Amino acid sequence: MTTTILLHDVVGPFAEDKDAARDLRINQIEPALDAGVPVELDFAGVPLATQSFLHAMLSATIRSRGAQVLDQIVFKNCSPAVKPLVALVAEYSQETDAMRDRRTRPEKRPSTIASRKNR
Amino acid sequence: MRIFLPNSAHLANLEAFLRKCRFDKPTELHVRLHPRWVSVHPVAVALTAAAAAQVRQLGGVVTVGRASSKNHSLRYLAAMQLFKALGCEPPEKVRSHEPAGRFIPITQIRTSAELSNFIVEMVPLLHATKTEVQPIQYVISELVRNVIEHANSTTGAMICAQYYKARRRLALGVADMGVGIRESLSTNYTTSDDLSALKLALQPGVTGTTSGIYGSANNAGAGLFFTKGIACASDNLFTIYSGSGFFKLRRTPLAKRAKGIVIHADPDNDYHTEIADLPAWQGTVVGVDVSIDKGRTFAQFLHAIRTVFGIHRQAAPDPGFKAPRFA
Repeated sequence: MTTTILLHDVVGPFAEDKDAARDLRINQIEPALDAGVPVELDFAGVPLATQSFLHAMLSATIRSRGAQVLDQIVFKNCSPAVKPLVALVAEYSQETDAMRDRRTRPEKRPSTIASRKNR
Repeated sequence: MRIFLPNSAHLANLEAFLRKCRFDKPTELHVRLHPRWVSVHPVAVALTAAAAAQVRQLGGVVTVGRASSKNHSLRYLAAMQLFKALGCEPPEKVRSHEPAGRFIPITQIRTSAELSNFIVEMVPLLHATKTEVQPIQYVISELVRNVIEHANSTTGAMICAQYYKARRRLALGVADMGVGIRESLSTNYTTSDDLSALKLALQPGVTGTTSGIYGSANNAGAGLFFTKGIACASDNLFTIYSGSGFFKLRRTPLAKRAKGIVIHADPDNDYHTEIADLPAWQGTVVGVDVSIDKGRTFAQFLHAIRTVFGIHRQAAPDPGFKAPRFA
């Protein structure tokens, strides 16, 4: 059994309403996943979505449940404009604060020899 | 407040127009027009309308200076519904234009539902193809949602646009008189001035709702970055003005363009102009030109922007990352 969500029926041809995205996440996607039912997000008839919409619909779910939740979600009929945005949101939502901190750790301080020269 | 609409105020020279504005008395607005003709980007019209809405809401007075009957721009300004927004009669009687095919007159948007309706209703006004309309819808949605969610503006967002069919380019202006970007970010970020706050807001993943990585459940903090990226990828200009800070994305110089246009996550790396001491505008004003041309699709633009976003985050994906499944 799969829960299929036809996005066109909810948001029309342009998926940009973040309130609708949040409602979809809270009222349809999360409950289905809680029940162990895979989710199919069908973008047929939706050639365009904003990154903000996709973030509001997906990011919190991926963050809270981890990367493995993507095994339970299928993105169907994504247009060439929607695909890179879905990939982007899915990608950065898997990044944790610890990963970010590791990457953005400040560079090493200047060597002691250089420091001494400046004295 | 005093605003002079000159014979040239476009994104390339917008800072000269802004420098002459005065935003000191919030209950008075006097708008003057160039005596012969007015040629301004929609961002200047949106800014004027936003100022007027604020003054009128406070019960203040809006006046328009006298203009010659030979001023050929009166019809254009009337068609843009500037005089209606100001609550004044045009200085001379003008015949109204049929808006279809050229511009979106000044529209005030306060709620998410109004925005969703507007995005659908504006499509036929532009007489553009589906491909041309996509980036326009995208940019309008991101910019106006920013106002609705972060600006705390009692008068909402003022938006107007002009479409140049021959060049397949849309010039768009969005203005609000809300709290401004520095104040909006202040809960989670400390910045030294308005310009620093502006440049911080242009970076992907920065939002006023949280200091955490890539936003909260409902805000990613990437709307302005995407808008700047779309302008950059289509080789157009983008300006943002809040408080005394001003940032303008310039076109990539011709000599460098041959190697390809590069989108940067850090606005300091863009070809740009920045100013920290313009007259302080209480709110935010964004002007942007968008076009689809030279055989490139909007999907290609988004793909390029996504790549930059990814590079900004990390050099290579971490092990254990999963890709979404497409069917």
